[in-house]
Amino acid sequence: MPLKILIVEDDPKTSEAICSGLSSENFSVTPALTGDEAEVRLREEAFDLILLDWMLPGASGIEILGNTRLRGIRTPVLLLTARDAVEDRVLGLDSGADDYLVKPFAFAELLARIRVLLRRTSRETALQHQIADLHLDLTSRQVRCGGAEILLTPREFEVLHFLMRAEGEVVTRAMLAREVWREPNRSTPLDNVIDVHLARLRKKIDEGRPSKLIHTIRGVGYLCADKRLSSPGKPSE
Amino acid sequence: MKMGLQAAAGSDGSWWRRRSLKLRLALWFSLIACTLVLGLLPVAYYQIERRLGIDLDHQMEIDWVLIEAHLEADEAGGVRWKKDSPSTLESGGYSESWFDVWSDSTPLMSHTPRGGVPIQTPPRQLQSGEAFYSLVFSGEREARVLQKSAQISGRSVTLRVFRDRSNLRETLRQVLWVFVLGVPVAILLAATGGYFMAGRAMRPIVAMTERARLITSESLGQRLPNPNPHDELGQLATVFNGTLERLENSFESLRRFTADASHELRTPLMALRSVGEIALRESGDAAELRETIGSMLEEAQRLHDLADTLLMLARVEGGRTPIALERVDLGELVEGVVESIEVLAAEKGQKIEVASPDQVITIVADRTLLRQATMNLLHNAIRYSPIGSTVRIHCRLNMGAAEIEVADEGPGIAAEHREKVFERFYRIDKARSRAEGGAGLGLALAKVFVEQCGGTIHLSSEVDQGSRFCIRLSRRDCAPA
Repeated sequence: MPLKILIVEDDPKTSEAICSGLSSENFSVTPALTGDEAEVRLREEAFDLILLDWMLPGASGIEILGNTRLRGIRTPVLLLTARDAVEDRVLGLDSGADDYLVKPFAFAELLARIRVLLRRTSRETALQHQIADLHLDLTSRQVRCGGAEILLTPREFEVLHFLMRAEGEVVTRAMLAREVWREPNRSTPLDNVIDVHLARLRKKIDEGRPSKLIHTIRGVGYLCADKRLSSPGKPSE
Repeated sequence: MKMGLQAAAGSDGSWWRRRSLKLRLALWFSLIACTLVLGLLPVAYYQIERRLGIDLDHQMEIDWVLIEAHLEADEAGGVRWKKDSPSTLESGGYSESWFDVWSDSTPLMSHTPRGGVPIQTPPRQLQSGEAFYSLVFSGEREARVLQKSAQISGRSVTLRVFRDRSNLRETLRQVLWVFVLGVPVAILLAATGGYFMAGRAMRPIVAMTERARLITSESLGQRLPNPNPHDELGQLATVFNGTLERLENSFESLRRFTADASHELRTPLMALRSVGEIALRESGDAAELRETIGSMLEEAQRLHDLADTLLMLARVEGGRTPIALERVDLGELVEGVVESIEVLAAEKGQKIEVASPDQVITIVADRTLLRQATMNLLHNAIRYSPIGSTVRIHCRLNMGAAEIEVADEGPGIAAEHREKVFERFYRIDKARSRAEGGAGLGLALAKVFVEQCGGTIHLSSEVDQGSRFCIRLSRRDCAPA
């Protein structure tokens, strides 16, 4: 049974894009375009996750959040907003949101956050990852390809680990910068650095391999997957 | 609204405050002249009166001596004008003098000038030492009298000499008239002179006002006239012109920023649009469409990053980002930065040389901001240095300040660009594409970040000799270890 997500977003285009994106990831989505509609939906149904826009016609996202929590509903809430000042983040999280995503965001990022909130995957905590014949062992910090060890720098290892952990999901540069380089700020030359690292990593992993494992999704980021097994819903190159 | 403003102007400030400075100065001059004249004239009048009195008394003393010398006793026991005297009673010197001779209370001789009224009062009993007194004769006329005892032909008599004081009073009256008529004229002259002199002094101010009125945001290149930079007005003009220059520079920066920002924002928008439109027009297969969408996303990402960066700049500059001050080890910070981005140098075959200090340099700063500033400087050096060159990064103590210096072997920066490279979107080579140079915000960010940490950033560079960017952080507010 698919997980149910309520999407409270007043901009129809954004709402539609998110709904369609999440549907193709096999979620069951319910859109609500106003705060009042969201309140009604929340009374009628139980959801596994709520995507909540802050600025809404009718009741604001923060109010809905307050009401929901007052009624004892502990459903995880991911707050979406264009307000990214530090005090806004604090207010959002204090009001009971579980995570906070600043618009505009990459869909890949949204998906990653949703998966974290739903704790659907055990890949997060796994100590070993395997894609095709590529094997990563977190304990020994070794990467093997069909038995032969591939020597990676510590940074390359962390990048590969992050990509493999999110197997099949697109990883944006912003996510890599934040998670691997611990650099939340976007106005740094890190994107160039990430590209260089990815190019080197790809050279070490994919050279001489008939079917590549590391893919560039133009305009979005990178993806690590064995495309021979890719499902029809997934992008193919 | 207008009425209200006028009423406000009317109620605010007295009549005096609303006059022109020129008129006020003139009125001040007049007031001072008035005080001076009215204060000095009585003194002058009194002095003139005294002097005239003293002169008259002197004259009478001379008269008395001369007359005594010309008198002799006659046979009848009286007194007469000397028979053998060369001058007579009608001679010039005596014609205006009254005199009489008394023996006790008996009149012996009396002389009245021609046309004069006889004075017929007996001599007074005088205190010893007293000789002069005044008396009124024939009703309203006042006479000055010198009365002394004289020896005439061995006989002791009283000789009195008179002079009419009316002439003196007439003179004094004329003086008074001159004063009364002269004072208003003098005050008027002072006022007029003051008015014109004030006008003369104000003329440069008026000229400045006229010129300043013509200066608008469109003509900030103009300057106030400054004929004499040494006097107070000249200094005012110098200060004002300095302000104008700074204003012109900031307007120029703002104009450039607006133009550059709109260019930087429009370019990705334009690309987004045209790529989308063309893809719609052509019927491509799925792969081609994916390619198109990817390209559009890239442009969207570029816009996104640009907006983020500009927002952050505005926030940091507006002081709306909390600064987290902490102790930062500069050597460690530099190593971290180098470790992060040295792959970019490696891609260009460049070498990064890190000169570590002998001792640990600790300062108090916002680690994140300082790290990004350093990272941007290093990235800038890597980006503009030729393939295979060396970039040197060096942190040290210099005259009590901590410094991080990034030196490259790039083409250098000409003097006219040196200040401007820290401006947003400023690119030395306008033709340089975005792919080669960034959005032109790296150095602007570095400068803002360093300044938020209380430091400064300097650039020294010569064309063809490379550039040195130096972050200088004062250590005086460094907390004790």
